[in-house]
Amino acid sequence: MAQEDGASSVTSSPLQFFPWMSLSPGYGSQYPWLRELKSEERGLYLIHLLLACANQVAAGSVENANISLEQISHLASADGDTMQRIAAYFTEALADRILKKGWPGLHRALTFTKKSLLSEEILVQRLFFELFPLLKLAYVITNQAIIEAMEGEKMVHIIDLNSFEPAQWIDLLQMLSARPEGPPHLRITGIHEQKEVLDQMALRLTEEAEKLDIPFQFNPIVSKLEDLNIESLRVKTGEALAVSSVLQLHSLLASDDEMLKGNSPSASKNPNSSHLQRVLQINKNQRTLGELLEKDLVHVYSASPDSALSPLSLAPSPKMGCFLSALWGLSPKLMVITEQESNHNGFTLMERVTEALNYYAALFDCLESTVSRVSVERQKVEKMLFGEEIKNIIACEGTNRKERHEKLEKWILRLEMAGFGRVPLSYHGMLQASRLLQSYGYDGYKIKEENGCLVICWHSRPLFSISAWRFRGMIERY
Amino acid sequence: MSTTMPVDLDNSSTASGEASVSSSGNQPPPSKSTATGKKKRNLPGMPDPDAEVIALSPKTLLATNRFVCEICNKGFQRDQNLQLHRRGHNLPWKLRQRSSKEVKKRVYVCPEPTCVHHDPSRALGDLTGIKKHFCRKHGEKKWKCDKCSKKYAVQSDWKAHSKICGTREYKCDCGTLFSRRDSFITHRAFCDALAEESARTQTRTPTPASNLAAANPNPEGKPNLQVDPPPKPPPPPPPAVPAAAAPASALPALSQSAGVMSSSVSPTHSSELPDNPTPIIGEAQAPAPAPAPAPAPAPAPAPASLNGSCSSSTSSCSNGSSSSSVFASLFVSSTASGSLQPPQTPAFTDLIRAMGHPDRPADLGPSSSTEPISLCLSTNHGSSIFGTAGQELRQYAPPPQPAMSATALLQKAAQMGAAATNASLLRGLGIVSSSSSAQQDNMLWGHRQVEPENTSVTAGLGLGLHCDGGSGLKELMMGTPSVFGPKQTTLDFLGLGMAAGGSPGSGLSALITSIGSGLDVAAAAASFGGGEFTGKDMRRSS
Repeated sequence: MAQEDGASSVTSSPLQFFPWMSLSPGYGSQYPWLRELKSEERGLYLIHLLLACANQVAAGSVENANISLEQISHLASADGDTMQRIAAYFTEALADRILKKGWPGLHRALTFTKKSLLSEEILVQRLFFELFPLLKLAYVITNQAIIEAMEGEKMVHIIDLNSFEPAQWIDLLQMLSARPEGPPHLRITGIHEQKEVLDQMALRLTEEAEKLDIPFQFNPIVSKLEDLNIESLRVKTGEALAVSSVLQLHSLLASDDEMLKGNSPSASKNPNSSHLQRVLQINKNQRTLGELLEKDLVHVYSASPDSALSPLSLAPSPKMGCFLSALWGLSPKLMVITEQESNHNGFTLMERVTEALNYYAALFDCLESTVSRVSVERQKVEKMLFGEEIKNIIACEGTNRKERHEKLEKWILRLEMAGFGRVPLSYHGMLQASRLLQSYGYDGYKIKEENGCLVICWHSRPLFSISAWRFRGMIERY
Repeated sequence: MSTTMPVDLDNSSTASGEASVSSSGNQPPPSKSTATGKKKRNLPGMPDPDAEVIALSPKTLLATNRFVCEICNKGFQRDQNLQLHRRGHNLPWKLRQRSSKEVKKRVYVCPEPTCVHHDPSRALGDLTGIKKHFCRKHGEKKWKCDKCSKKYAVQSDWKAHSKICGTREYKCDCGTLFSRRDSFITHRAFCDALAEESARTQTRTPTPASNLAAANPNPEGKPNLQVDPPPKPPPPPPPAVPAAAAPASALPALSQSAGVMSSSVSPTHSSELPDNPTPIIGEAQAPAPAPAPAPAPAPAPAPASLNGSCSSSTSSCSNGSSSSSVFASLFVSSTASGSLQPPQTPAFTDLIRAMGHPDRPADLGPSSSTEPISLCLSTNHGSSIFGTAGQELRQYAPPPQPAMSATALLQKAAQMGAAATNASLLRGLGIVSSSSSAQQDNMLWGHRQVEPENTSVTAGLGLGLHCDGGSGLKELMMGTPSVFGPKQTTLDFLGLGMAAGGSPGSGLSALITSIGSGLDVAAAAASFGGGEFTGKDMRRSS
């Protein structure tokens, strides 16, 4: 007991200052008002605890982290207020990380029977579609960009990197059938890991196309994105190709960081040289080096000095390089990329924790404002979607860490280096998106335009970015 | 049949030789727009007086594809195109050049006698123009817009319209469509008033949600956290208090009263409160205006019985708004005050009112918990992205920021952290980034522990007096882990009650004594039926 020592006041828990905090919620019921009274303070306390715990985890002091986790778990709750929920999932992620690193066998034993049902996963994706405007906005903007780019085209082939929501393409089918020159011959290649999802897509889309009398073909490809075989896409000559990537591309950044870090000098030491090295690593094609270097140097020198790490020091990623150059080889007329607008790909854990805290706080705030606290659906999205993402960001490393979100400026750099040119998103598309937001009553969301790309924000916090690209030949200048 | 043959047809500069064979084959002169150099344009409606007037027959004007290939009968609008096509058949072909002669100005009259442009003085200067005019005014409308059923006689008109049709539409919330911005805005000005009213009368129902919560507050919640972290504290035991029965019956009534609540005007708040045993509530309620979308502020927890039931039903719903509403009169609160509406919290006064008015008709929309379900079920079969989801979402109008959002909390923590000596290493949040400084803090803490960290304590104690609370708070937190050895167990936390209650260490009371203003809070806390240890210590130290 803390009172053992004589001058135990030194070692007594500061929590004595917060007696109710240490009480089990059994006591809590007698003081529910305390719980409510302290929401803000509790929230602040939780933030401090989380950061302390993250520090300890990063430093490897497991025992201290254990204590922090204990403390947090008394306050956090998956059905409490926003901060409590966030804390709950971050705590879980931190604990997951400790266990994985220290006792991998234990970790595996505790988690390998907990695989979620396919139907649940599909449901959660659907819930995300319903509860957030993001996917709808992304689809509307993507479709508008496709319509504009494919004006006059008779044969259109669309590759959907994560094909699970029929609504997206149904909308496009309808827009295409209303074209004055009539609809084109449309092929959609859908990629997804689960066959059932693709079967459902095929059904819905062919049904709709028949209704609208559009010549249509759906090609399902059951595959993980990283294992995708470009040949299987069967892109034909003469057809206009469009690629739609909604929250998918970042998973290709997953790589064995340790190995790659060893190869190149650390970013902080010599940004220029390491940057060049990465250029070479990323870009497999021997493009005109001079051209690339010219562009890259320009970028490096104009780097905005707003973060400790050079914002343009891209983490090397062989998978991404391969994938992008394969796509480039198909000469797509249009590629629309929607990604999370946040940097969750930092090298250090603390970096990722702080960025993720800010980012998911905004997402959880969105839910808090639009869905009731007792909603089971909300909890599902929080737990199975965001919770899993948070866990991945915090607890996983190397090739397992798939949620490697990066900010738009980095994506721009990557794509430009891979040979793509930007296609500014039309004003019309942005109008449509704004109208969608209004008609759905999603208050608090805002759409910002930045350099031809769109950023969807929650109040002033950017959440997602949408940008459009096209194949850019070597001759063309940027 | 042409009525008059133009005089200089044969001298036409375009390849019109063969075409003159057909009676209706009046060859179009080179399009004026292709001439190099700017054309002098006459004033509209006043043709060049010395221009040549040409009257073409209706057949001519309507004809398309005048030039026909003799081999395959393919038609072309221009002779040039026909010539190029003939090359494909290995036929002799010849492209005529434009003659070097200057082209005489021609004007065209409409063949329809009743038409204004039949008069040469109102002739049109452009061949394409006269053709289109004739189609539009005197022709059959063969092209139809498939979006809106407008018909057109000229294909280019139809194309131009289709591009625009449906793309510039304004839609009011009430569903009316407008193609013009001005009429849309005018409508909106009047329609908005109506829309707001209807939104106000719509209600949120916490009831079925709170039924779920009351019946089963956390057991479903528990599995959310994996086994690894210490299990979450069990949900507050269902209140074994007299009002335990109340929730069951009150909650359904709650939904009814919630409906009443939101549509009632503020004055009725206080009028219905007399039966409320706690004046505090009344005080707290008064400042809260009738919220448009949400029920009244969160429950005031004073009376233990009702409090219990409220807490159980609101355990998952409550948030900080209640703090300020309840204790606004007692404490200085920095949390958001004013119009606080926690999302689905069954208002405490609702409960009371519900018990008083059980006969209100329950006429509420789908509960919020079922709303998202309906979102799922109604998944857009056939409907596009613009499905029905919008309606459900809008029914749940969020409370205008009752408690601080997580984002705001983070910003606040960052500010507090930034004030600390261990300034933030990482952007956005002030943290101590290495455990070594935690060690430092430990030592600091060892020396300073009795220092008036009261400010931070009071901050923690929920007074909302955030003086320099941040740094102290932080150091306390940093200090904690390193202070404890591994042998620290939960017992210590829980044992406080026991330790303090059983043998309130002098340390504890000393600490509490050292907290200047903290006393007030502790006392206040004690006065609300706080744990025995605080009560004892208060007595002891005072």
